[in-house]
Amino acid sequence: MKTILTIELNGEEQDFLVLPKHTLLEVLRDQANLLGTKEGCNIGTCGTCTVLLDGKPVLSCLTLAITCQNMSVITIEGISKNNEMSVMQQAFLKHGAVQCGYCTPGMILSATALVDEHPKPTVKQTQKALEGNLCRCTGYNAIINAVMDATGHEEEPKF
Amino acid sequence: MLLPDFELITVQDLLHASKILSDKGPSAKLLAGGTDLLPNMKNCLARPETLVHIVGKKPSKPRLDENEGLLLDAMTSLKDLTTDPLVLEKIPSLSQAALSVASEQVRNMGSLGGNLCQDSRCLYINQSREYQFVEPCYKLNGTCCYPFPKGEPICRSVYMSDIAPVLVALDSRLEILSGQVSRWVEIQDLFSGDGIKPLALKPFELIRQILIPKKALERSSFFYKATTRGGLEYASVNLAISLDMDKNTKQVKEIKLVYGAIDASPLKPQKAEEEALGSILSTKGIEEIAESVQNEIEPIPHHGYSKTYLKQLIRVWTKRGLTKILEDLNNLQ
Repeated sequence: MKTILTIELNGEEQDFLVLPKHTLLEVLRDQANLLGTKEGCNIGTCGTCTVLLDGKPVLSCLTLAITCQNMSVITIEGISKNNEMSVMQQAFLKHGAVQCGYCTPGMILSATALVDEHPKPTVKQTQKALEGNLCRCTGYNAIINAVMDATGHEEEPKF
Repeated sequence: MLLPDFELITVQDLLHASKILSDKGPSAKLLAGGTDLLPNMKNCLARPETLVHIVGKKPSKPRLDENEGLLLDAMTSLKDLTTDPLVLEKIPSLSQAALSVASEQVRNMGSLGGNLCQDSRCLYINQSREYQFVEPCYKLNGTCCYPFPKGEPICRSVYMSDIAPVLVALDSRLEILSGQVSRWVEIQDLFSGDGIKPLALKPFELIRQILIPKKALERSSFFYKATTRGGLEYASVNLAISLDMDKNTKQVKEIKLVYGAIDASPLKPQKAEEEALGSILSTKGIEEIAESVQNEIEPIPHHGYSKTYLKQLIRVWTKRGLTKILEDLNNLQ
C-alpha cells in the first residue's frame, strides 16, 4: 500500500507516494528527478548514493524512503546556493578531483558532513570519513587535496 | 536490484516491536539499521514478509551503573559508539571496533544490536543473484558447499561482526526481549556456532541492552581488525584482548582472547588462556601465549585468505596486542 512520505528535500517540504520497498534513492531519482544522486552498487558498498539525512551522510540505496518521514534530506543539488557552487565543490573543481564524476556527488556530501563535524580535519580524518566512497579514477589524492584546501589547510598534504 | 515486496510496520518502542514479531512469526524481521538485512534482501538471501521499524524513541545514551557496569542501548548507532565520551573513556577498544565497521555512512545507519545480529557471510553466497551458482548451498537449504566441495556437510560461512569479539572479551551480558518478557544471557549464548543460522535467538527475540560488567571495565583491552584495504572492508580476522595483570610482577591475573571473522561465532582459545594465567608478561611470555593461540585456533579459510595466513595473522596480532597493552601499562606507571 502506498503511503505519503513528507520530507524536507533540499530545504523545501515535498510529498511523495511511496511503497514500503522504495528506497530513498529510488524516490530521489525516479520521483523527485534529482539525478545527481547516483546508483552504483546498490548494496551499500560504493557510496555514490550518499545523501545527508538530518545532516548525517547515509546510503540512500539502503534507506527505506518511508523511514525518512519528516526528516531533512540534502542531495548534491541542495549543496549549491543561488546557482553558486559550495566551497567544497569549487575546491574539487580546482584540484581536478573529478574525472568521470560518478563518485563526486557522494564524495562532496561525505566531505561536507565531515567539515560540519570537524571544521579543520586532518588528512587521516578525511581519509576515514571518505572511506565509504569509492573512486576508480582519481586515485584519491586530488580529492584529499581538495578537502584540505576547502578547509583552509595552506600546504598540500604529503601522502 | 530492487527490493522485493514486503509490509512495513512502524512502532513506537521495542516492546511493540517484540509483540508484532511474536504475532507474525519467522516471516517478520526487525529493521535495526538495515545495512546487512537490505543487501541480503536485494541478493535474495533474506525474504521477510514484514519489516518492523521503530521510530519515536531515541536510543538511551550509554550509562554507568555504579554496581553493575556500563549499559549500552542496543539501538545505539555505531557512530555514537565511536564518539560517546563515556565509551571512549571506559572501553576505547569498543569505540575502535565500532570505528572499524564499514564506512561513515554505514556507521550512521547501523545499530549496535543490528551489528551483533548480522548474518554470517561467505564468498559464494554474498554475491548478486547472477553470480551465485545454480544449485543452492547448505545455507540456502541446498546440499552442497561451493568453497568446500569435499568438506563435511556443514555451512562454513563466517560471522563477521567487529563488535562481538570485544563484547565477548569483556564478558558482556545481553538483555533479550522475548515477547513481553526479558531475560539476561551471557553473550556467548547469542551464538549457535552453526553457519546456516549463526544466532541462537528465536525469530521474535530482540536484544534490548548490553551490559559490560564493572569488573571487565577495570581490565586493559585491545582490538585489532586485520584487512587488506584498511577501510570499508570485512575483516580477514579481528581480535579482542582483555587483560588484567599484576602491575609489579607483570603476572597475568585474568586474560580473555577472542578472535572473530574466522568461524560461525567468535572463537576463544580456552587452553591458551588457561596456560597464560599466572605467566609473566615478558617478551618471551607474550611470544609463548601467541604461539599457543596459533596452535589452538582453527580458522575457516574465507574470502581468499588461507588457513596458514590466518593463523600467522592471529599469532602476529596477538603478540602485538599484548605488547601494546604492556607498553600502555608501563607508560601509566
